[in-house]
Amino acid sequence: MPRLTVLWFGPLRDARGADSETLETAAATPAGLWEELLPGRPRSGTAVALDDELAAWADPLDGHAQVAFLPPVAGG
Amino acid sequence: MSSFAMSDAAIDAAAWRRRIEDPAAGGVVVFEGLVRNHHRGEAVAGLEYTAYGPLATRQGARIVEEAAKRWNLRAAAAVHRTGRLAVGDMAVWVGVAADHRGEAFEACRYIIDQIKSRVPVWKREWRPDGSVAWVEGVPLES
Repeated sequence: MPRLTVLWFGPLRDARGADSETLETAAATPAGLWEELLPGRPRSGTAVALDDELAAWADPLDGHAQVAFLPPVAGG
Repeated sequence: MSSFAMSDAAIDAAAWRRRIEDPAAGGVVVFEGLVRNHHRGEAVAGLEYTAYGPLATRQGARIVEEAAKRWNLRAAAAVHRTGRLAVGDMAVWVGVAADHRGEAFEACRYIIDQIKSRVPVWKREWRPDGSVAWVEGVPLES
């Protein structure tokens, strides 16, 4: 299975207990990976990035090394 | 010239101001965002910002570049803090230089508004009693 680095930010970092983790997954999309790692947790308001660029939940993970889950932001 | 940075050190506003100097500019507007001592009626003792560095830098640069083009700015720059900040510390600095004041005000407002919704930054606040809470945010926009 492909190895991926997953980055967690904000409240998600607390929920997961880590800034990042490296794992093997059979998930094909960020949506599938989210369900695998945080089953049942609503992802409303959360964005996703692949290799440091914003992506869609249904984009393929194939060919990417890093996924970031980005809860609502509060900069400024 | 336009630029954007994320910084884990105190913002040197005077140094950033010098970066947007241009003899063709007749108006400069600067916005300084500060840590205030209250949020939604609750006392705040300090803040901690964390960021998704690579994407934050890229998104911020895009925003500054958009403003520079749209308002035909002579110069524009912005910087956003990460790390622990105390009340009164500068969390964000935005500066634009334009030929006339109208473009300068509008462009500065655009940049700070866009930073709030498009730059991946998260904020925790400390209360005087030592408790800590994530500040509710807005969904990140592309």
